[in-house]
This record gives sequence, C-alpha cells and structure tokens, in this order.
Amino acid sequence: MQKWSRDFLAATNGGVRVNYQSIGSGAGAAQFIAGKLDYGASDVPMPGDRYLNISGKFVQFPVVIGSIVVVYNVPEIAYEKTGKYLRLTGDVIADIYMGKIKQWCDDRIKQLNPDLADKLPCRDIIGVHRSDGSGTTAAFTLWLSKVSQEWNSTVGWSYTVKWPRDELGLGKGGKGNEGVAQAVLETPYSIGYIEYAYWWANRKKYDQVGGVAELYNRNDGQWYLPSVESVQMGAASGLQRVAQKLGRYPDPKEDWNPISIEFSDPPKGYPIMAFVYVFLWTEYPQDKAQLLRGFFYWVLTEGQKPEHIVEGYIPLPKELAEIGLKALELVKAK
Amino acid sequence: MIKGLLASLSLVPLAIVALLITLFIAESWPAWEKYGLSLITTADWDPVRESYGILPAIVGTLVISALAVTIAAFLAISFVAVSYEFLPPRAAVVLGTTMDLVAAVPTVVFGLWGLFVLAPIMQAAQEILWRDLGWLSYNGVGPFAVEPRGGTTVLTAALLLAIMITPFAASVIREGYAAVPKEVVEAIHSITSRRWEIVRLKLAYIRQYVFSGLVLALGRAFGETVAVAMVVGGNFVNVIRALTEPGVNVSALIALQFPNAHAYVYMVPTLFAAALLLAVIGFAINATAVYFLLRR
Repeated sequence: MQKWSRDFLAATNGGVRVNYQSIGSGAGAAQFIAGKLDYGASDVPMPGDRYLNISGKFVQFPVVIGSIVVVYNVPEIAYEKTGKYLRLTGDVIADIYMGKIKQWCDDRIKQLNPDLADKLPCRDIIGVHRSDGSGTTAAFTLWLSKVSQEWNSTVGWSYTVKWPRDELGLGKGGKGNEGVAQAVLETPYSIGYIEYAYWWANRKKYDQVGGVAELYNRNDGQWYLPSVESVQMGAASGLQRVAQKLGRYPDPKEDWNPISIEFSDPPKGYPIMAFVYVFLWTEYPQDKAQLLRGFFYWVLTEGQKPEHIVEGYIPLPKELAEIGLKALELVKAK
Repeated sequence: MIKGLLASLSLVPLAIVALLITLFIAESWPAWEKYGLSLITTADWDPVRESYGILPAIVGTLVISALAVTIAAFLAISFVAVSYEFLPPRAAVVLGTTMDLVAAVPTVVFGLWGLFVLAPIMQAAQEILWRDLGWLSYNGVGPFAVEPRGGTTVLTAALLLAIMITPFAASVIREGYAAVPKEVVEAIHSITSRRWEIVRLKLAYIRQYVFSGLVLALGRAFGETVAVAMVVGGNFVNVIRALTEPGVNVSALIALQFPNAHAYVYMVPTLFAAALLLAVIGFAINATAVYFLLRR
C-alpha cells in the first residue's frame, strides 16, 4: 500500500497523495466501519457479523496476493548442501503440528523425500507459530483444516488456535512474521509458516540452514515451490472453482468469507492462498469518489506491474483484478 | 479556594484508577460468569472453542517479574556503587546521563535488540545452563530443567526486562546515594576506609531509596508488553516448568491477542479479566511495599 501510494504520487506528478497506515487487520476493518478511514485494507475479508451491518453500502475486492510459505531449519539437509528442498504434504504438516509426527526422520517424511531420506536427522521437530492473532495463521490453519480431517475436528482454523505441539513442549510462538521468521532461522530442527514476502527477503539465509518446503496440491497431484507463477496459478484456478460453484464470478458487494475459503487448497497450483483485500464505501463526496476510483484503478492495472509491487507480493491474475475494476464502477459520488 | 482546587485535583488520579478498575470489572464480567475461577486456575487458550484459562500467563508474570527485579537490583546497585565510589566524578556524571538515556529508548527497540541480538546469545547460554545445571530439579520442575528450543524463552524475557528496568531503579538509588548527609559520610569514613564497606554502610543508610527504586522497577516489569511479547516465546497453554521454556506473561498475552480478540465472543472479556488481575496483583505488591516503607 505504502509503495503504491508513493508510486501513484509520482505517477500523478505529485498531484495525489493517498495515505496508508498499518494498524492491524481487525482495527482497520473496525475503523473503516466507524467512518474514520476513507478506505480499509485487510488480509482477511470483512468479518461476517460486521459485513451484515454494512452490507450493500460497501465493496471489497483483492488487490494483491501475499501467499504463505513453510520454512524449515534442518542443517543436515540445507538447500546449500543438498541442492534440494524438502517435500511436504498438508497432511504431514498437520500431523507435525499435532504432534503425531515427532521427529524429522519419521517414515512419512522420508517417503516423501527419498533423496534426502538417509540425511534426515532423528531430532525433535520444533513447531513455530504466530503468538499474535493473525490472518496468516488463519490462512495456514484453514489449509490444514481442508486437507486434514483430524486437524479440522481437533484444532480448526482461526486467527489463533490451540497448538497441540505447544502442549507437548515442542512448539513455540513468534510475534509477527518477523518473529516467526527469526525463530526458524535461529532454532535448529524447527519448522514455521510465514508470508511469502518474509521468506523471499531472507531466502538465502534459509537456504543455509534449511529451506522452503515444496508443497503438494492434492487436487492435481503436483508439487509446487512458492513462486509468482505457481501462486498465480493457484489463485486463477481457485477463482474458476468459485465461478463454477456460483455460476458467475464473485461480486464485490457480497460476503467474501465463504469465497476466500474456496481459494484455499485450489484445483491447481500452489495450495496456500492469502489476499490483501480493500474495502471501499459505495458513496463518497464528489472529489473523494473520483480520487479513490483513480487510485485503485491505477493499483489494479499499472500498479500490478512488478516494478510497483512490494518485493515478495504477487500480482493478481487478470480475472481477479477485473473483480476490483468492477467494484470501482460501484463507487459513486453522493 | 486554591487549596480546595488543589485538593480536588489530587483526587483525579484516584478517580481515574477507580474508573479503570470499574471498567475492567464490567468488561470482564461475562468471562467470570462463564468460566468462574477456572479462568485463573486452569491452562488453556483455544479461541476456536472459546475456552480460556490464563494460569500460564499469571505464573509467567510472577516468575518473569521476580527474576527481572532480582537481576535489576544487582545491576542497579553495582552501577550506583561503581559510579560513585570507584570512578572520577565526571565519569560518573557521563555514565549517569547515559543510564537516564537508556530509560528513554522506546521499548520496541529493546524488543528488536532482544530478538536479534540477545536471543541468539541466550540460546547458546541456555544450552550450557541446561547441560550443566539441568539436574537442579524436582519432579521435572527446575530453573533449567527443560532443554531450550531456541533463544526466545522466559529467561531471555526476564533478562531483557531486567536491562530495561535497571535505569529506573538506578536513578532512585542514585538520588538517595547523593543525598546521604555529609556528617553521615564523614562518620562512615571515620569507621572504615575499605571501599566496599563504605558502599555497604551507605546502602544500608538509604535502604528506603533502594526499596522504592526496586518497587518502581517492579511496576515497570509488570506492565511492559512489547519487548516481552517479542522474546518470550509465546506458549499460552502450558504452565512453565523451567526458565528455559517459551512462555508468556499477562501483559504480553494481552498485547498479542487483543488486536484480533473482537473476532471471538469471550476473548475480550477474558483479556479484561487478565488486565484486572494484573492491576490487583500490582496494587497488592505496591501496598505491601508502602506498608514496609512506612513501618520503618
């Protein structure tokens, strides 16, 4: 957002300044509703109960993808030494965080990684997670809930969940993405999940102590490393699935909570998905309506080019950007 | 007229505290109603099932604060003694000013330093403590009884906190040290010329300053959120058995969980209950401190 607002300021030759401040998703949505902000941004859609309160008076749409990756610290099989990344299925990751898989040398991890099998150490896995409530945790645990029946019934998905691995004394928390990213880097034999951008910025360091997991998409039976292409493929195929179910593309005026769930574990591509959503009112004073439309039109078109996107975030596939463009048509002057 | 105005103004802080406590009680009421005392006597943090028990955070607060104040007492007293008795006056002034500046550093800076500098050092240190002193335990409970899993633990949080609160304790103790009357100083010097003996006698003379300084530091330790939240490890479901484990304290729990608490029905009341408890424990400790100060 900040980069977009800076780049837009330059694109309009200093004509338009859009302010953005990071105050946390929950607070962002609350203050948007309270009318303290002209627009809101969040890593989850407008929560269901709040949606009902302002339904019809606002639009929401994704502006960029911030996928989630699984990183690990296992020096014996570090990418720098082996040239290989660990392959993990959602099922195995769920069982790791549930404590059913205790050590790195577990047969189920070996089976997925025959080339690394003899190097996997018999050391306890330390499961790192967010200690603050976060949309990242919600997206990660949603994926685990979808691919593991047992995870869904015993843990579930939420901003914060009760981590079974913590109860075993083999889990720990980190505050924010930077906290988890740092904990995995400094704790041998740990595993953690972080936003794509945080891995991207530190990927050389992760390669020294471990790496990033190649994840299994159970729907197409393929393995995917996180990349712009694989994540965009996931988003696009998720959208197709939503469109098939609804018989149309999702509408910016509807409740996006059930829709966002459909993007997780998509038919094709990288399996964990997280969007940044923008909330706009449908009515503004004349000048503001025009400015906000102009800014977000730019964000959804020119702003999607790599040079305008913060490193580590992923541009929307065209079909998804068009939902936002449709939303802008609904933003009108009073 | 002015006297009356001032008198009523002096009641303002009291009124604010009373208002806060009332707010805490009111906001936390649904949680007490639903969970009863099990809210503070059990260990659980399961928002999906709306099940909360904050015993781990309460134990964490007591352990982390006590340890932090103990370490800070050593740091602050030796700092004051060294700067007044062993250093030239000018150096003492420079050191004292530096110490005051440390108190002004934003806590998030301490937190980042703790996460990126202190925690990695502590990781190695705790490995050694666990290996060599891990046997100091009873039923699996002991200071270093649990194998450390990375640097962010209760011990790291307590040490970081100790460093953060030392300037507060030191500034009060320093005031006292500088205010020892000349006659008393001369009397002490007439008894002994050994420097550590002088320090000991002076500290005994200003023990109320030392005590107040430490109580002030304890208050800071109780309420500090950001820095602790960053290095404490964040395990909400187990009561710690060792300092080398990840844990949490009440203030960090509130700071970490409040931003998204409104997504749940009972998390907000639970966090207000935690705040209420923090206030009650804080008052109890301060009241005890005041009682001991006045008794002497």
